[in-house]
Amino acid sequence: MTRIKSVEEKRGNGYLKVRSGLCDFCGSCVAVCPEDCIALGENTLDIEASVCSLCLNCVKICPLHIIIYEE
Amino acid sequence: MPLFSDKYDLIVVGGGPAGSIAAETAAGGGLKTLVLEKDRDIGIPVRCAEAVAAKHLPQYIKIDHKFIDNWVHKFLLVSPGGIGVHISIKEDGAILNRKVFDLELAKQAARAGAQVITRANVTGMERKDGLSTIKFQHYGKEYFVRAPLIIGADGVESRVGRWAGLNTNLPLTDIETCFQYLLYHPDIVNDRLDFYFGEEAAPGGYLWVFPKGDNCANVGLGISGNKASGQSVKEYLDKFVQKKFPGASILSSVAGSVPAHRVPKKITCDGIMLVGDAAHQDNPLSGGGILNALAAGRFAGQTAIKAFDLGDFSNRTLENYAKAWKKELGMEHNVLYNLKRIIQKFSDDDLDGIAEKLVQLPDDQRTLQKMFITAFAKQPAVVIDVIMNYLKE
Repeated sequence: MTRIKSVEEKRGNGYLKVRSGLCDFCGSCVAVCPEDCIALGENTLDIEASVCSLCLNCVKICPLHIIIYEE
Repeated sequence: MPLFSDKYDLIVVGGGPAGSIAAETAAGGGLKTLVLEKDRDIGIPVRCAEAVAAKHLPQYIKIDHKFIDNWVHKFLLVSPGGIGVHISIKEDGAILNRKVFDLELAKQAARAGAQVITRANVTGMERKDGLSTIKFQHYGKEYFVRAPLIIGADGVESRVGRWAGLNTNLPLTDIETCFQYLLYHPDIVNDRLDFYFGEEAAPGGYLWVFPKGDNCANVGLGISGNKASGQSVKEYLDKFVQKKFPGASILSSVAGSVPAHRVPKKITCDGIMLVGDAAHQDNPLSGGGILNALAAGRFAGQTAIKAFDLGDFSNRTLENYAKAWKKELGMEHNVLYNLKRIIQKFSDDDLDGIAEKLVQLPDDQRTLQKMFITAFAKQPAVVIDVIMNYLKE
């Protein structure tokens, strides 16, 4: 079964969320993460929220828009 | 007997074309080599549009029709306003079947003596006293393997590079975010590569229709990371497909990103070499990465053998790999990077203007070279920009 650790960490004025189940595991978000806080397994996507600087590069790059930032 | 030894001469992270050629070369030179591939199958998923200039392949693998789906000798470039420019090419363009192609390359590596393991997800790397320890997961168990030499062939994510402290992070301006379908539709032209440009189709990138035969094609697009907002890449693609190939069957779909960047200043350090997309060696204009990755794998494998001969795994020896790659492909790579930056600045009107000029040329004068000359004649200032950028290298 696909498992995605969902991140919903309060940061500043908003939330970073990963929409579980829709990830294609392509690694785009990892490639643009300046903090190297995203880890991709064969079928897992983990964002280490304590390291995340909330630059939102992953939100912008995701081809499927499964990482969302909500105010 | 355990599946893996605990120590190798060389560990290659990633079983794509760059990793397999590196492993084949190194194992052929007598190095005890391990290839760790994250996915359950070599070559799957196919995060690739699969077009390649066939003449360069035989240096690495004997051309076999089982991994070539189609041959093409024609391009169609479509401007934002819908002006179609037909271009014939003399050399053979091949549309690969990457599932088979990658598997054949991995088999070559295995035949040369390398051990290839799939479903081996590398999760960490540490270097101490001249030896790197790689941590990986395989069917729920954690394993540790050590080697003095590591080749990072782990694609656009390039985690090996990050763990090694090399700067492989991609700025949003220099990465293309992509989505692709394998489509069947009766209107797909089987012998031509189609490219669509412009803000509506693919801002800061292009949309491709690369035929695989039997009215099937890889239909996908990439947009520049800094222009990605609002709609997702998938939404761009769906709009195109609805308009151009209504009712098409979607036989496969895949997301991914390609570097459109310079090769970082440092792609080696003590005990580590990065190859292929992990070192941003793909063509920054087209996103095509296979041939440059194969060349990198070969050079890195040769350098690994040399390092063992010398008993020196320091950057001083390993940087010779980066130099060899740069000597053969670096200049072209820089030119293409600068071209990309210029073309991204063109407005839809600029692109339509270039297309209008090109369609007026007779067929035999309509070449890709002529296209660039026409493009720069339109904006002479950008030519100076390219030259200045180039001189700065």
